[in-house]
Amino acid sequence: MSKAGWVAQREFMVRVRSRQFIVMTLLGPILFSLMFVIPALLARFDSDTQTIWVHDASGLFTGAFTSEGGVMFREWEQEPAGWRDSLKSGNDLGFLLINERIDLAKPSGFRYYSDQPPGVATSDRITRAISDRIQALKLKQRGLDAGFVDSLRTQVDLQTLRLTGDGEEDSSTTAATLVGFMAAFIMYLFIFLYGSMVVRGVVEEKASRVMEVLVASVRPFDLMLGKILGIAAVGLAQFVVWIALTAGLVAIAQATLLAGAPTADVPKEGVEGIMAGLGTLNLPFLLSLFLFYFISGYLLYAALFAAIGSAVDNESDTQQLMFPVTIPIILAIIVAQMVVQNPGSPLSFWFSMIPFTAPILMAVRLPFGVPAWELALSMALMVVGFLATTWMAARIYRVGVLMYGKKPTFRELIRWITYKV
Amino acid sequence: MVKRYHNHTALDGVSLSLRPGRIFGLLGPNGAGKTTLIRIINQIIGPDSGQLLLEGRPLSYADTHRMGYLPEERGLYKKMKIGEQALYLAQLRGLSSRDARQQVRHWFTRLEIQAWAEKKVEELSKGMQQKVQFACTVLHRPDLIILDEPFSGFDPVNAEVLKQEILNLQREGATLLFSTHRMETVEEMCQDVALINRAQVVLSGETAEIRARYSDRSYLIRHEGPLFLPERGVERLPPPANATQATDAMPRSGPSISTQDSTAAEPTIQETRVRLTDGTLNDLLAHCIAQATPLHAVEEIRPGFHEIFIKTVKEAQP
Repeated sequence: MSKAGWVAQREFMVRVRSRQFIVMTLLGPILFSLMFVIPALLARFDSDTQTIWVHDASGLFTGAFTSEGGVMFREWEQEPAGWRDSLKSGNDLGFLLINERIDLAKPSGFRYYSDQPPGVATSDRITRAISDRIQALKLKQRGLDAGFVDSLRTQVDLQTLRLTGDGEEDSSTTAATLVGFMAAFIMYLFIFLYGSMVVRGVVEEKASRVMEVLVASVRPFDLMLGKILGIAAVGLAQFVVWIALTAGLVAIAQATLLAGAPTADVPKEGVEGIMAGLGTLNLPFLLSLFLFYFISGYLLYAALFAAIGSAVDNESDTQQLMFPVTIPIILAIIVAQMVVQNPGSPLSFWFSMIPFTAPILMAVRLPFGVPAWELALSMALMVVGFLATTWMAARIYRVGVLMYGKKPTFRELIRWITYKV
Repeated sequence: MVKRYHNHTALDGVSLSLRPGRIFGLLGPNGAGKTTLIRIINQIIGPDSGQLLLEGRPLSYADTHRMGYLPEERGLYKKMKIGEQALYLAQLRGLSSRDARQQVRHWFTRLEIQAWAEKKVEELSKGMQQKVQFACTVLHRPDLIILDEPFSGFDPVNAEVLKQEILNLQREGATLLFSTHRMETVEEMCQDVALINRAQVVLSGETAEIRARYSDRSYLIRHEGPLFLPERGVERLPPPANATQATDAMPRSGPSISTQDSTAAEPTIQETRVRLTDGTLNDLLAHCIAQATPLHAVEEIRPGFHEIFIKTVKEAQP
């Protein structure tokens, strides 16, 4: 086995057997599946409906408020004065008081009392119900039928089709957005999680002074490469276990705990729409491209992180140096939101060409379809990019591993690239 | 070798030659360039100019498999079991898994640390860690073993173990180079030495030859009763300031403490230290023998490396 291979093997074995890794690997899926299961369980057991009492002195709003989603509107038929005591009973959310005289041209005189300020959802619902009813009343005054107006609000189903060389194919914007964001997020998580593991690993070797023994037997470049690859293997293993266990746990939960319960609050048509949308994506092709950006992006950043680790003597000094390196990743996540709005814009193009932001930006763009030449150029730049940063990082690393003492500035790190060792 | 750093020269035309099967001592004050030289030999860093030759051909990276290195700053993975750690380091030095396992067992047994093989470094005492580190240095059976300050951090008992192991390795055919500040170690163990000061070799050669070279023709005479020295060609030396210094200077010359010693039972035995400024020892002896005073012993006072070191380094100071 090559030396980098031995190094990678050690990095993998030591980490995979550590208690921390085992706990994280098992705990992760439990937390993830709870994220799925708890909302569904809550939706199922949350049968306690809360009441909003309505006292409508005008008589215009009878039947305007519909009870749904655990909140019930009920008419307060007694004198309004008594509501205060009634609110004390736990299930009463609030009291809506409507004045006797309501001027439809300038509607006012609606008051809502509660012991806690209403949430946005509640106040939205109340105002919407009121404005809908006022609109209907106004229409009636003009002699128009509310049902006719409703029919004016037409729901258009826009079928999005993308022109390709072979003709046209279906594309689903929702599915593409979802897949793109998920891939971008996973990439972001992977780079940060395992990139910082690389930093800690290098710092550990320096701080414990085992570094000098290592560099006497292994070339610094092989040492760095072995560490980066070993940790990549740890990350992949952890991700695979996470995904498999989470899927398994969710499946078990659905079969037992949630049997027969409606799945959370996503409407069925929505889920089916997305599933159908997923079908329109070329998944094997997408996954292999994701994998390319995933690996090249990790290699690019991990090398930089290794260089940073080599430059300091202890872990607390890493933060300041890591900051400039993390800026592009954070920037990429911000730009990604804009790219989703307009995947073909010049902004999208340039950010998906820069190797530092390309992995995340391309993850977002890929499901929408990227012109072949752009993809080829971006991938080529990505390869050039990670070779260049790895080369640079290796040059900093070989100087850094033997340097103890004052923490270097970022500028000094750049200067190390030109040092002869 | 020439090695320059940003603002100072670490090595300025240093040239050394090690002979196989011998122990070479590298001496020098702190910051003289010893560690830089040792790192260059280990190919951790490269020289600005100069060449390393092994058996007449340029040293290659593959030769690191034939070399063992114990750095001055000791260090191992704190959270790794020492057995696995030794195995890993042996594999990095080119041993196959099987050979590595076998060698780890051999050396751990030899250094009596086998029982701790499953322990992590952080669970061991400092002395035990030193032993592990030494085992890691030699378990790939290197031909050339480089030890930077090998005795620092060892208690006297373990230092003796280490010393015996070093001599064993030499007997088994290894060539050793070590840097040290302990001059008595140099005198006891090294056949060859080099003294580096301010990036240059200021003194090198065989230990015995250097000591002879630095001999200033001083002699110690033990005698009973008064001894009269010749009026010319001989200078009387003051007795050593204290006993420790005397041992330092002459570690092998046996009990040569002072006049009031165990020999106090025969109070008439005295010691006289002299230095010949002219003439030969024969002349001096002839003069002494001519007197009735009984002589007990005459021996050369050889300067220790302690003195040679200090003298050489001080002379070099501007």
